Amino acid sequence: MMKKMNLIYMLICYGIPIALMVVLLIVSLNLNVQWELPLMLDFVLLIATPIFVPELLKKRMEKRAAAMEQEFPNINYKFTAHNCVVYLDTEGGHMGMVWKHNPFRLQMIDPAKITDIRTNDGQMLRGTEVVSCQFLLDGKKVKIYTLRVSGGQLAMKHPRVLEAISKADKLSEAVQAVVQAQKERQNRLLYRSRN
Amino acid sequence: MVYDLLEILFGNFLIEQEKKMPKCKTCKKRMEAQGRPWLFLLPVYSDERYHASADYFKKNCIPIRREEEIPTARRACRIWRVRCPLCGSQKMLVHDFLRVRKEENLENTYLYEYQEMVDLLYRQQGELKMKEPRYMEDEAYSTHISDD
Repeated sequence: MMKKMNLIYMLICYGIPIALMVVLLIVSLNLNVQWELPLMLDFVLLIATPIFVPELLKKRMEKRAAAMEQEFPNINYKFTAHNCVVYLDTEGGHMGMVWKHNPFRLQMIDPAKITDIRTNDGQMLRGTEVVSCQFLLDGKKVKIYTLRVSGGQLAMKHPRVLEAISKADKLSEAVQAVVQAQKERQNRLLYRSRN
Repeated sequence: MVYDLLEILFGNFLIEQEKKMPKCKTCKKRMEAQGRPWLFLLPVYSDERYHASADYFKKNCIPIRREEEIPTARRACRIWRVRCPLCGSQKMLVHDFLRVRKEENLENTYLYEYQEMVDLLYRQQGELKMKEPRYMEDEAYSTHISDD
């Protein structure tokens, strides 16, 4: 079963800055304050944590994924999304993922359990905020984002949106090729075992 | 917000300007396309960058007949022979584009001397093999739109 999040890891990554904020708040309230430094540091942490912690998580994910790459049989296609790194072997029929919130394992996916592969262009009215390649794994939806927009939408014909849709289409094709390659591998094994 | 407004007002105009035939540097007259464009595949995908030059296109362009032959996420280019109606000078105009389903996104435009690229126009299909690369690497976009 796919484990997208490691709770202890998330508690450590977000818990430490939050604990620090609480400590600084207590310190600034308890000291007879002409010393405003703890409060200022608290404020800085409050602003910086939601910006820097996700970036650090992403960098850590990429670093861990690069270290675990040799575990994967044969990489034809590697895609780095915001929330995961995907490895595909379109010849041998293998697929693996390293998740941002659980970067300690290269999780192999059984292509036989993948269904309903498609590109979601996220269109709402005349624009979009997210573009993704999505599929069902054991009935549960898995999304691999190729575009995320914050603070608004981009028009459907915006170059970035078109490029993201083409990446999602390419990824969907590659996942489909993995599923097909795995089916062929199974059929070959079945044929050999019968003969 | 200001940039959004500018994009709405002038975006399409600028894109249409980009698609027009270029002007002759000597006569300042709009050059005319001679016949239909040639269609070629490029060895890059989606938003990849490359160092564009006449040599690059000569070494790497693979001729194809129709837009339907373009693989998913693969970049392609149209090459026109253009000629100035006044002084008769000839150039080769290259439109590098990305085909996304039924839309086309113009990535870049280049202009070269006719003699630099004339050999490319006689390249036959099958002279260069069209191969999927053994290893491809790609990344997602993250964009923040700020209100001005």
